[in-house]
Amino acid sequence: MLAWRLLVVLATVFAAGSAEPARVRPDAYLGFRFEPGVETKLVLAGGAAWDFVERASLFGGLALSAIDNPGVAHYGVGASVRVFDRADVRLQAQVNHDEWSGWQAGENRAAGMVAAEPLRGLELGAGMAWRAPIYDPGQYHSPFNWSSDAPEWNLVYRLDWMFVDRERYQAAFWFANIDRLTIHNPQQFPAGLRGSYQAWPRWRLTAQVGTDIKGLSALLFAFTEMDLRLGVSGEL
Amino acid sequence: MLAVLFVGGCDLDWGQFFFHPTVAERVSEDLSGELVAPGPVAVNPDSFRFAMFGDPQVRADGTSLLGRFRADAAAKDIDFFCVLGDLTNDGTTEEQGFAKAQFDSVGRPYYCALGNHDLYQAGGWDWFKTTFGPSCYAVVIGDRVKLLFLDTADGMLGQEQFDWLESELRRGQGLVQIVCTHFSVYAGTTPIMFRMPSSEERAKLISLLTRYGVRSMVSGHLHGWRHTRINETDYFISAMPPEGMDYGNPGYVIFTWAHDSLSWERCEYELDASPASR
Repeated sequence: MLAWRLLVVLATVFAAGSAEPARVRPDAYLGFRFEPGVETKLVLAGGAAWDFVERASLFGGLALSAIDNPGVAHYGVGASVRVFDRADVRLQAQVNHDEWSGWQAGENRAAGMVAAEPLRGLELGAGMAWRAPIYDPGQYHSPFNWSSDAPEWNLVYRLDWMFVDRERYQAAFWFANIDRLTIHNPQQFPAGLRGSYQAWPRWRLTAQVGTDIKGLSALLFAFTEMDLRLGVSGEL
Repeated sequence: MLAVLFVGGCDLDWGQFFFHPTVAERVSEDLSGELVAPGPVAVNPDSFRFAMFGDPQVRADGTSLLGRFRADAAAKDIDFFCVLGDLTNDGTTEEQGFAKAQFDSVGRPYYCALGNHDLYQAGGWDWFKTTFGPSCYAVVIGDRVKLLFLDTADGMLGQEQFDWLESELRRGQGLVQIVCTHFSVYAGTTPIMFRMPSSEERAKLISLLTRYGVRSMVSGHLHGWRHTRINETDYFISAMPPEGMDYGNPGYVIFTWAHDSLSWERCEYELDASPASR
């Protein structure tokens, strides 16, 4: 509940001092996630970030799934505040809820991280998350149930390097275990490529391909998961 | 499956690392009927005891804690025991020979699961299946307890094994069911590598064990002791390497069937005791 209160406080404080016009960045994608022997699903996701003052933004999103575990897949909200202009250092907090309807399992998470852009096109971030998996068939739906039989801390990190930034095209490499809706655990090392094309003045077509390297033990790793996304993003 | 070995000090066989049979291939072989699964141990169906531990990791000089366990098995009147993977440290022929001889020397019937130390070595899978049988199998003890051995030697179950597990759990309803495997699903609140790596696969497995009222899941891999209760299932990690504990002391879990119910207790060895044994 601390994270929710933080969001309300941030929104109140920064809305009161707002002098900039609000900017909203919506996005949506259709995704396909495949983890052999575990889960195959289509994902339809959407969300937005709202730069409601110059130094802060709120963001949120929702994902629905089909095939395995149909229904709600993820949702979450968060806030980001720029604390230093140099290197664009930001503090970020978010809360998320995951559901797997077929397995009657869910997870609630709160995460906080520090992110910066030390070089143009290079974003780095690190922080911690608290995960509360809910395996109770009667409770897994609830985003308010944080009483878990198997909770854990989770290191989170993000490296995002935009190596192509032309007038209409962008391409980036990412190595990150946290995004707006999902967090991978410390044994999973997700990475991939994404690109975008400015198809209309305020809208881009987006594509992303990702996988994760699973750590089995001190020296053993394996590739398994595949994640494909096609979508749009805008700046209004 | 494509796999990558990072640099380090473990004596893994690179060839086997890249070209060992996948879990899907091993499970297909397990369920083909070509491998002979161990049969049920003859016990008094009203009263019997068995022990479970992972990671004996018998060394090249024969070092292990199995000599001490041999004395315990006699003193505690254990009917049989289960070894949950990583039978040897480096999977060499010498270690394999020591491991088999030391298991036999306990003088009790036993069942084995496959671990990553057994798999990622030259001829590891061939040795396991020809010595102990399949890596994925079930056995019913005294018409009371059903033990389901899963192959998680490379940290994942795969669809065929999930399907097999669910069909066996369905068939075993009415019995007390225990899942025995190498990788655990939960290893505490501190981020650590030594468990099944996929959050989704763990959720899927826990969901299945909850749905069928599985009594316990016992595993190793992490060199420690942990007991976690999720819904009505007890999850144990109990490893017994001769050295190199991540935390706690090496030891095993004893299950006792008596008065129509199953109970458990933890037995452990102090680390400062001499580990050497043959």
